[in-house]
Amino acid sequence: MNRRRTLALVVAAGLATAGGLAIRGSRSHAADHLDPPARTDPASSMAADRNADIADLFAWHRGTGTSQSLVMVLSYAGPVAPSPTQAVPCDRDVLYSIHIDNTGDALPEHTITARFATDSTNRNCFVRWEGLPGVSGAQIAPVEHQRTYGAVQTFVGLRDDAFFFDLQGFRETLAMAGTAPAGMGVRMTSDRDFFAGKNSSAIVVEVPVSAVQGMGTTTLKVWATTSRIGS
Amino acid sequence: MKEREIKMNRNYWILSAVVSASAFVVGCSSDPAPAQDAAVATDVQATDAPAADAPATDAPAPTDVPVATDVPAPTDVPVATDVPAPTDVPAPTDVPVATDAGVSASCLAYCTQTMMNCTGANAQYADMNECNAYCTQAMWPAGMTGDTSGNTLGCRVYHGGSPAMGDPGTHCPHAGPSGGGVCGNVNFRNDPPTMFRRVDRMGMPAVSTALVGSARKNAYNDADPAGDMAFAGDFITTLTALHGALDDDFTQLGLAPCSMTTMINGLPSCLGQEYAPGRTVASLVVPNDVINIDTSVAAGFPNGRLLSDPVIDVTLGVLFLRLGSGTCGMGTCSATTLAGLPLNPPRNDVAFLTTFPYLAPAHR
Repeated sequence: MNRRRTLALVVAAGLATAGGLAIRGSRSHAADHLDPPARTDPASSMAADRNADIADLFAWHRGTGTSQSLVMVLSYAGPVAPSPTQAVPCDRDVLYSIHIDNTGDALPEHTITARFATDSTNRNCFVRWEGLPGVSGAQIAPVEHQRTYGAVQTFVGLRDDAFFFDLQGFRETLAMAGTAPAGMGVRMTSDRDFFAGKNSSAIVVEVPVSAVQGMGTTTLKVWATTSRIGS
Repeated sequence: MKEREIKMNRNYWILSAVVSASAFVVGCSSDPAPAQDAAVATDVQATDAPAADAPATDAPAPTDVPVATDVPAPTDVPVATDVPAPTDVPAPTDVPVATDAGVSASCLAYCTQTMMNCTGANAQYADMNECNAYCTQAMWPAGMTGDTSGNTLGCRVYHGGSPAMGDPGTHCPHAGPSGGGVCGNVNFRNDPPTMFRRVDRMGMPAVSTALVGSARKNAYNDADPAGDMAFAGDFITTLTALHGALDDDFTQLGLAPCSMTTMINGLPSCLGQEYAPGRTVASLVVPNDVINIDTSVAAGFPNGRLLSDPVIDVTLGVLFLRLGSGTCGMGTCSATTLAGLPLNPPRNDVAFLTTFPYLAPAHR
């Protein structure tokens, strides 16, 4: 146990210094939450674009054979502490995209886009999907409601932020970097999770692997982008 | 939240950092406002599109309206629906506004009819419960009995009735949550993706946020993965500086660091070393910052990224340790050395779901 703890401290110290060097002036560091800071971190910019801030991207395959599927999770606008009236942002000016390359050139063969808007009540929020693999045309669904189109499952809603990381300890170590003796400034621990109890909005899409995979290859590249309408 | 964080903080002298972190959380928890500036010229809302389902008759009885008069609405371009309701329709009496106190009789009637007439590919709701819940929270205006258009419950009841029985493919979407461009119009932008400006992008977790300096962050997020070779130098510069500051500490405490000065596979060793046979650390982000997935191999970071993967500890491990040959503690350094400690929390605070949509429900 002592040895394990020592290892943790050493590496944590390294990470702290690393962060200090790498981040320079930006307070936050996570999977992609609040990055790029100049655009999406309220601490860095009064005009931070929270709705278009990608929090995280997950993508994995599951199942086997013809039932094998690819799950993609794009979380955004988080992390936020819960509040009773919290809901997914319904920002019609943001385009959320998940890109899939199946040839290895990092150019997308499939791009799934999600747009959001309200109806005439200005309250009921909907997502409009385009580019769902194997699904023709656009599909409109209310947020917070799972929808299946053929073999494709979709969902958008406010969820638990799935990331786990001691961001608080990381920030504390940053504050001490270079001022404390080695080992004394380490504040990261494995029992403190900054993202615990916090929410993000999430786009979740599950598609058959057969709908996105290229001929004669089993490799895929997945990435996500957000964009705001030009002005 | 603030109290909880302070409680967990074992170092009160650093309280200011905690407070500012909490302030941030509070500050960004209240931005639900949907932008409604529809002044962009390209924001076509199809207001001059021919109104589908123009009122066919002035007969008040919805079940008598001929199905054949209904023109299918396009499903991918919402059609403006501000067609005036017939003025000679009797005042509504049997379609009260849905309330949020339980399920109203009108929602029950609407859902019973919709679930019966719209099934299979034309289903608008997964089940009666979902329909009742949605109808209740949607709080559509009651409208008029027999409304053929407009974002009202009356319109949905009309289209979900005999029209849906006769032509469910056309009318069930009108009876559904969005109204299908007939019983309501959702104000989506129709601008092509080229009209939107990049804000953010992401492939691998944390790597670009940590290894791209602030001066190049916007450029990095504006770029696409196919061009990521342009940032390889940024990664190397930052990582070299990190190792220069840390390697003696690693060595002193029994964690063998990888080297940024010797070469493996034509790259500084930390990037050229292999985290798995034939797979270099560099290949995780160079030439493309994407999540790479090989569906013929078991899923798990960095082959894809599961919700449960301890990606930070794995990423730090492969960037800092001499994988495969260096000694870390009692064993040989590997991609999972740090995750095995663990350095950071090893799992999420709440359990993920085993079925779609996998993420745990929101905290309330």
